[in-house]
Amino acid sequence: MRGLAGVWLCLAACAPASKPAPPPYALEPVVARELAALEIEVAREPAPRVQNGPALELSEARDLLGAVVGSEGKLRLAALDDLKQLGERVVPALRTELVANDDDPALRAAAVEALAEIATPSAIDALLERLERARREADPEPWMRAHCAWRLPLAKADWSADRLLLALKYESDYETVIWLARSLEANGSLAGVVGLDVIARGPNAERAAEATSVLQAWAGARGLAGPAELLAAYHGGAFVDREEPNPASVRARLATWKRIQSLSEWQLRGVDDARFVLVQSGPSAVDALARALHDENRYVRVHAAQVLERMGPRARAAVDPLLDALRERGLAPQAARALGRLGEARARPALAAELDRSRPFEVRVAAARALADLGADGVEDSLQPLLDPATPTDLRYASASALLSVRGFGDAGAELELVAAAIAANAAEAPPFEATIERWLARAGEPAAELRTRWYELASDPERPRKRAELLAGLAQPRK
Amino acid sequence: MSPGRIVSALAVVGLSAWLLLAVFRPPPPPAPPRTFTSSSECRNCHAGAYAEWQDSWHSRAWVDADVRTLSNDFANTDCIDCHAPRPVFETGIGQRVLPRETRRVEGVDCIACHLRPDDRIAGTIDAPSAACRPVATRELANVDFCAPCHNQHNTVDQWRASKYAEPGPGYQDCLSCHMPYRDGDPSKGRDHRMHGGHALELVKRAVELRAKRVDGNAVVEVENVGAGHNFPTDERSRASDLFWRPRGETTWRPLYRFRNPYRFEVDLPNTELAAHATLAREIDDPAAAGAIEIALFYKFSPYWTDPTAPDPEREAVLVHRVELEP
Repeated sequence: MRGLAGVWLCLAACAPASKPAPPPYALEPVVARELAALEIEVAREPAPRVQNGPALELSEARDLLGAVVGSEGKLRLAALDDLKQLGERVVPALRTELVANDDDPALRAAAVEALAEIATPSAIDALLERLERARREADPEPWMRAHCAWRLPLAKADWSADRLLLALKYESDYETVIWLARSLEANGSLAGVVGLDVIARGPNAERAAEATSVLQAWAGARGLAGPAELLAAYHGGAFVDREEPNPASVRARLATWKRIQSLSEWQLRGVDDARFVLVQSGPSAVDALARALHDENRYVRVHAAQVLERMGPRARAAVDPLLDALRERGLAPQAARALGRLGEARARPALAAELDRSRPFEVRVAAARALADLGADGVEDSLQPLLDPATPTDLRYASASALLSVRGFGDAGAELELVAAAIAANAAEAPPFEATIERWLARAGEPAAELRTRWYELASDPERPRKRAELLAGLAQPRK
Repeated sequence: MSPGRIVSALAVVGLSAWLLLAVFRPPPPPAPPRTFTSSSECRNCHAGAYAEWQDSWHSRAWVDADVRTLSNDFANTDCIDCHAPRPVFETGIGQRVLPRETRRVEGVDCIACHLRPDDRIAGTIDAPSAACRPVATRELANVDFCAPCHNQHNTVDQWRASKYAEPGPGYQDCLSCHMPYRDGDPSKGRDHRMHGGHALELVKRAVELRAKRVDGNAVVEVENVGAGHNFPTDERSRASDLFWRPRGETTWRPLYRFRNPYRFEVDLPNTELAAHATLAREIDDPAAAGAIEIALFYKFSPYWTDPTAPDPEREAVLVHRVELEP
C-alpha cells in the first residue's frame, strides 16, 4: 500500500504542470484614470507669468499692433516684444482682432504673429479657434486661417497638433491645407502628406506646384527620392520612431486621451472626428490606444482597435496588446483585422487559431481576412479545410483570399476560383478581393504580364467585377 | 355489466388517459443552439417576412448605388456602423450600434434587428423548440430600438418634439407609419418592407402643398401634416424642392429647398420642415402674376446634374402639383 502511494506521489510530482489558464481579459476605467492623472499634471504646470494690470482694450491693442506694422527691423521686434511682455493681458483683445473682419488686414496679421509669440495656452487656443472657424460657419477669410496655420509653429506647442489634425479634415482652402501640413511637420507629424498629395494632383496649378515642392523638400530631408517614396514610407511606418517630440508634453497626451474618450460618444460624427485625428496621430497615440483596448467602455475598445487598423504599419508597437485583445469576444473581430493591417508576421499563428470552429463566426471571418492582408505563410493547413462548400460563404471567400496570398501564378487552384466568384458575387464587396488578385499578379512577375495588362484595362469599366472574374476563369490549376 | 356501460367506462378511461397525456406530456425538447451566418437562413421558415425585407431599403443599405456614391464607397467610415451594423441587442436598445465585419452586403438585416446576445432570436412569441428559439421581446416595437441609427441624424428627437409623441389618442410612433400591421390586422404581423422616403404614397401623405393669392401676389405654402419628424429627415442625402413656372412653360424655376446640409456645408442653413410646421413663400417675380404651376419634388440625392439648370422632372420625384390662377 505504501509502495503504491509512493509511486502515485512520484507520478504526480513528475507529471508536467498543466498550463495555467490566462487571467480574464481585464476591463478597467483606463480612459477615466488617464484623464484624471493628466488633468492633475496640467493643473500643476506653472501658470504663465502674468504682468500686473488690467486686460487691454481692443483700441489699446490696436495701437500696439500699429507699432508693429508701422516699423521695421529692430523697432518692429521691439514692438512685438512689448506685446509679448503683456502676455495674458492682451490675449482677449488680440482674440477679438482675429475676427474683426472690418479692420486693417495688416493689423490682424500682426495679431496672429503676436499671439504665436505670446504662446500661452490661451493665446494658442485663440489661434486654433480662428483656424477652426471654417468648421462651424462660412468663413470669408481663408487667408486668416492660412496665416494662423503658418504662425502656429512659433508657439512650439505639440498639443496643438490634435486640433490641427481635425482642422485638416474639414479645411477646404488649399493654401490653409498646405500651411496646416507644414505646421504639423514642424510638430514632428507627417500627417499632412496625404492632403498635400491630393493638392499636388489637383486642378489648381499654383497650389499643386507648392504642395509638390513641400513634399519634395520633406522627401529630400529624409533621404528619399520624391513624393511617391515619401508617401509609401509614411504609410509603411518608416518614420514612426522619428515622429513627434519624445516624450510628448502633458497637454499633448491629455489631448490624445480626450480624443480616445470621444470614441464613446453617442453621435457618430464626434466618433469619426476622433477616429480621423487618432489615425493621423503619432507613436504616443499608439501607446494610448493600445492601453485603451482594456477600457471598460466597449465603444472605446472597439474603435481603438479600428484606429490601430487604419494606422496600419505605423501602429506596429500595438501588436502584443492586439493579440491579447483576441481574447475579448466583442473586440476580437476588430483586433484580428488590425493585426492583418499592421503587417507583423508573428501574428499569423494566433490568427490561424482564431479560424477554429469553436470561435465566433465574425471572428473567424475577420481572422481569415487578416491573413489575406498579412499573407498566410505557414498557416495554409488551417485555411485549406475552409474552402469546403459547406463553409459559410463569407468565411470560404475570405479563406480563399488568404490562401491565394501564398500561391504562385501557376499554382493557384480552388482558391483562385473562389476569389473570382467573390469578385463576381457583389460589386460592393469586390475591392478587397481585387486587391488580393493584384498582389498575386504583382508577385507573379513576367508570366502574368499580359493578364496584368488586361486586368488594369478594366479598372474603370462599369462592369468591372464581372469582366475581371471572367478574366480569371480557366486559370485555376488542379491541386496536386 | 351491459355493453353500454362497458363502452361508457372505456370512453371515460380513454378520455382520462388523453387528458392526463395532454396535461403532463413533456414539452418538446428545446432546439439546439445555432450560429447564424446569414439572414438567408431565416428564409426557410419566414419566407414572407424575408421577401418583404429583401424588397426594403434596409436590405440595400450597403449596396445601393446612391449610398455608395454619397458615402464615397464607405470611405466615409462613420456610415458603416449603421449601414452594416452588428445586432442592436449586442450593445443594447437605445445604445449606438457597432460596425460588423461579415455579410455587409446584407445591410440592415434580420440578424441586425433580431439576434440576441444569447444567440436566440427576438420575436413575438416564446418557442424554445423552434429552430431559431424565439423569445417574445416587446422592445422590438420600442422607438429606442430604431434610435441607434435613425437618431444619428436626429429623426427620433424630431419625433419626440412632435405631437405624435404625446401619450393619448394621437400617439403614433415609428412603427405606426413605417412598419404597420399587414392589411391592418395585428394577427398578420408587421410589414417588413419598412416604407420610408422611397414610398411615394407615404411622402405624399407627409406634406400638403397649397397656393393662394395675397394682394395679387402668389404665395405658396407647404405644411408638414403627416411626417412624425422633419420633412425631409436626414443629413445631407435627402432634399425636397419647390419649383414653379408660368403655365405653358416647360422649364421649372426653383423657389425653395428643404434640406439639412452635410457637416462640411457650413455655408448652408438647415431648411427642413419640422412636424406640424408650415412654410409660406411668396414668389417675387412679375411672371407669377399670371397663371402658374407649383410643384414639390423629392430627391434621394441632393445634387443636380447641372445645378444652374436643375431638371426636377428627370432627377427627382413629383410629390404634389397645384395651379394658381391670376
